[in-house]
Amino acid sequence: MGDLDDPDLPVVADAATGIPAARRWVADPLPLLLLVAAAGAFTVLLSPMGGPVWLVPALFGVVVAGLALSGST
Amino acid sequence: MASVRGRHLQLVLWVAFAAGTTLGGAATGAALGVLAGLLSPVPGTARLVVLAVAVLALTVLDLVSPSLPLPQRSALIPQEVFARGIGRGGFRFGLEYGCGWRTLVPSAASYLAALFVLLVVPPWWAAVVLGAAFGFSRSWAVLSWILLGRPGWQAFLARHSRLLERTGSVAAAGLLLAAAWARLGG
Repeated sequence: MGDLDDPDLPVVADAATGIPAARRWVADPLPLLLLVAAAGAFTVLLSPMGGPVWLVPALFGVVVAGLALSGST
Repeated sequence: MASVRGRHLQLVLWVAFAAGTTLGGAATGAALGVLAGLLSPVPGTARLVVLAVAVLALTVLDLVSPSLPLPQRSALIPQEVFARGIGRGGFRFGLEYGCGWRTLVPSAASYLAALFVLLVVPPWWAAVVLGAAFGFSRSWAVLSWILLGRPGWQAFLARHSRLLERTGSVAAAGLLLAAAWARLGG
């Protein structure tokens, strides 16, 4: 099985390590991605359309795009 | 990435890695910004329509495909980049990882971001900023692992990585189309 300090330890060891699912999600990129996407959507709803504000949702969009690739880290 | 023990050393490696991913992303953004200049004679409305169709098509493709069937390099970044030291290695690894095209691209989201820069034709500095933001965000998962990760982090993520990739595509599509509408159609 390997050392419990090993970051690549197979997930089958979850029960052995006693790490709850909620604790797993805290460290996961998916909730972070959803949070950034929600913040981006909020700015879209609040901002007047047109003018230089286009860059704000665009920044949120590219950050979400970068986070979406976190599974290949 | 390389296996390093000790949070302090991991954070040092992350700083080098994040600097690399940010610079790599900025370089890709700059290149796309230059290429976008070639499309500037095309009317904005036409570019907006092409972008909307392409974004929707790629997002649907991502949602219905078990794995993304788009052109990408399957070669992984070799661990030999760390041969000259952990800091330089982390920076170089980040540079290649953050550019967005050097290795696997499992989500349509990065294609959407590239198409956005190409078809919206932003000012050069905005293309660089967008690329840098993309690259920097690619380093966040590693920071999250360092600060909050527990044994089995990567295996847990692997179980829902496709969900992450698809959610990212849908969210990026919505945000980038809103931004494109604000710039070209608003």
